[in-house]
Amino acid sequence: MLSRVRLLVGLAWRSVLAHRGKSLTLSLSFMLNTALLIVIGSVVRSSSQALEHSLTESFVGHLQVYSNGARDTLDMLVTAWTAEQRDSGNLKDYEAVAKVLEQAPEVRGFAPIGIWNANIRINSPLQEKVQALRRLYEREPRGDAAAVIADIRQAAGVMLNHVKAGYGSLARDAAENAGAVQALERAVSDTFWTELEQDPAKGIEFLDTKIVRWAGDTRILRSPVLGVDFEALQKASGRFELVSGKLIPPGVRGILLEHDRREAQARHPVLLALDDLAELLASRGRLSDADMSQRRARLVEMYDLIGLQLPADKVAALRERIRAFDPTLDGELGAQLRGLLAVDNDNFAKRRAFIYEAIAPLLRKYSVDVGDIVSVNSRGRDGAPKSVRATVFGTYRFRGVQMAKHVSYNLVDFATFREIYGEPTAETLAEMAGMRERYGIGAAEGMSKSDEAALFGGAFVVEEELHAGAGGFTALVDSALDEGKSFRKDAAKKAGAATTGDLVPAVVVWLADEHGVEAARARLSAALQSAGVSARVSTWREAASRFATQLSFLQVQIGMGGIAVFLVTLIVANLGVVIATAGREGEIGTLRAQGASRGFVLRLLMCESLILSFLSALVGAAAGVALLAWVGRYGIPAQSPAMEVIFGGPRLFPVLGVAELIGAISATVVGSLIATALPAFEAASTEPQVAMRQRW
Amino acid sequence: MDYIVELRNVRKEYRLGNQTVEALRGASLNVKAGQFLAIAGQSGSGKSTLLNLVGGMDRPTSGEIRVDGADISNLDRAGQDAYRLRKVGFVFQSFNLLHVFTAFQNVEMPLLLAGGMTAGERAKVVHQILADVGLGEKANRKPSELSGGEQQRVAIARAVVKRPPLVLADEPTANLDSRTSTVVVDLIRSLPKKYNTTIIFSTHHEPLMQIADVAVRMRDGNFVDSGAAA
Repeated sequence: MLSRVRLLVGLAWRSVLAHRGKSLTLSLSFMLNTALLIVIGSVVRSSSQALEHSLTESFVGHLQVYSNGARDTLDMLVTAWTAEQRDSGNLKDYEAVAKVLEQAPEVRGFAPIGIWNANIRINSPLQEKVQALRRLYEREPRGDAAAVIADIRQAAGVMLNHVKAGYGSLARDAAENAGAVQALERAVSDTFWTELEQDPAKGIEFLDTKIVRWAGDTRILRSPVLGVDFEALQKASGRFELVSGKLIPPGVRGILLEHDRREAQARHPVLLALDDLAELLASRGRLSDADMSQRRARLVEMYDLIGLQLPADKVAALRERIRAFDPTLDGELGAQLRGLLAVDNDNFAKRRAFIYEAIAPLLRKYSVDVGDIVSVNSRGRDGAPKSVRATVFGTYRFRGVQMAKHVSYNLVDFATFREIYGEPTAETLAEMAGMRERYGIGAAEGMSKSDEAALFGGAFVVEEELHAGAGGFTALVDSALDEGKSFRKDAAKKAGAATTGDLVPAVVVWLADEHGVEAARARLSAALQSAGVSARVSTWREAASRFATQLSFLQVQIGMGGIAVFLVTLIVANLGVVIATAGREGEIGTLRAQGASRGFVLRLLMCESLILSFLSALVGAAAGVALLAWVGRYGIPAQSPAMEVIFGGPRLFPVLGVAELIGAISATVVGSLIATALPAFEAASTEPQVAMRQRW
Repeated sequence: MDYIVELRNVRKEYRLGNQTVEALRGASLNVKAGQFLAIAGQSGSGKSTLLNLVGGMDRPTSGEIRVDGADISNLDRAGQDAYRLRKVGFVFQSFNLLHVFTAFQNVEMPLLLAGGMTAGERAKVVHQILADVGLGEKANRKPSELSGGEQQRVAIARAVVKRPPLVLADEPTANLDSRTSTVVVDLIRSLPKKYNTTIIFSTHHEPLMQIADVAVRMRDGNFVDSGAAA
């Protein structure tokens, strides 16, 4: 038997070498197939792992525990529009769940979480200034309002000039526009401000109702919020990254904004438009006249978004700088800004640099910034409107999934979440009662905006400091933990208590071994049942099914690519073997005449194919590994935000797996044998008489 | 008598479309062991069909063929393969050397197929036989590097290397010039004695008939002297 095998291998090897031209052609196809299969396989597996890691190491975790009485399955990837539509219930006995999880050896960490929809209300810059003016006038003694008044007059002047210079109207209706002009003329007059000194409430009401409306509406940032225990999240999540600001200290109310969502929604529109155009020019080189003209018109229209924000005391110096930058940019401020924003392919880079250097420092780069206090509004589960004031402590992202629309949550502490969610726990009710008592507010359900202002205005007296710079914000954080700030201290205790309260929609679980998800689910389900907890356990694939589906789709696509490569190789190999064996009819006939059986010829041809494909696959595998190492060094750039999510970042760095290596070599060898089988069988059927007939 | 080959009333028919062609029409022939038998005849006379049947590459429609005492008329495919492997050597008109292999490898092939010998034993036998045919120095040449005559000598060496009792040669000199033919014929002529074998070869060259131990002629699927016994 061994000698027969040796004979076959010897003859086949001799034949492979002898037919080296044909062998080389086939072998190139086998090599390419192996190399491509290794690269494709590694990309599929690496992307799968990258996305899995990105998700499981974010707030999604490996497993999720939620109420057995939930009407809907838990979806960790809701949008602002769908968050309120789902009802995944509340865990009635969080303490018991926590106890089970603490005792489970496979659990690396866990955190209570809740997801709900909320809007962040952002006032226009002029509205902020009018509110600041109100606060200054409400203080005892009255604060120095000169700078704020100058800014308001400056903004009103910009709007008035907009109409008078013929740049556009403020209202669609001519009569209303005339009324606006009349109001603005009053707002810039000395008379108005003298009267305001005497009757601030009336004057501020005039500003609030007749002037602010023309400076742009209040903006609403829609986003789901994720209530979370920050300490647990930071400890267990490997992908949580604070981009700016500070982490919300334990027990303090606050909000962390999702970095990319804030970049897209809250960045100053002029700066955003300039950055977009810069990116476009960087990729295209130049824009067509039509494209550039369209973008220029849009930029010029936004000139007032600069003018409205400029501090009055900086305007003169800025106008001088603009003139010095380009002497043709003369005239009043509006004309100068419009001229400056009238960019073209040639002057864009220079003008953008100037705007960033001379104007951007005078503007609020973001309509909501670290240190701001924002209103987080929602419709609670009970259907009633809820509103919570929260300090923006910073911006964050979950690395790898930051570009995903589905993962764009703003994070809030759990106490804040409970209020947004709208099912107050006993602790929250006690907390609210305490606040009412402290600030002498009636026992009305919910909080009106004025109540809120009364409540939080006092609590956040350092608001002005916040805008003064980082020191101000640091002071806020420090003061939040200060013993002297009794309200915050109370809030801190209550927020901490919330994690052990009876309102916990779900618990995210991170496992020590990412490969044991299903087994851990089964064990935890059994343990929870034994502990008498009515809860169900989902896996990340279920709770993040949209991503899992997206990933499966991508894997199918890439897998199809792999199958296509494999099939092409099969066809090429098949054709190659058909051609090769057809040319060997005389040789095979002669072998048959010398006594070689059909089986022997079949085995010989298959053995040749085996040797050739195996050796080629080894060389192809070496090439594939080298290619993968090269790709792995530079990474495959993600071509879209969706790809970025699947790649777990801007680039995918595929890593070779033993399974891909063995799989690719095996696939090539098996494929070659399949491709060879039929032509080899036909060739083996060659009758020995062919040798007599053949004329070589 | 001790016949190595015995044909009894052998008939062979082929189907060509709707027609039946009788290639052999009741041919009978006896060949003694160690003889050098020449079969002459025009194309289509049945020479090649006869060699195919005696060579175990085809089965007769009727009649009996015995070689070395065994009836090969009704062998199955495996039996035919084994018969060709052990009992017959072939010399083809077009040499039929495997052009990708060297002379040595071509001659070694039947031994490889038959098995039972070590590489060293095979090498010794092959080198010896190549020396016998005058190509000891050209063992490592490929067919394309050899002349026509040399290629046919390699083919003859391949046919006798496994010491078969019977060698069939199908017009072995048809593709050779007269001078080379003479050398090849002399070589074939020497085989029976040297390798204790029997030679049956077909030809339509009259001069070759003169040097054979026995010469028979074929016409229309039978021997001219029906029942020719050598």
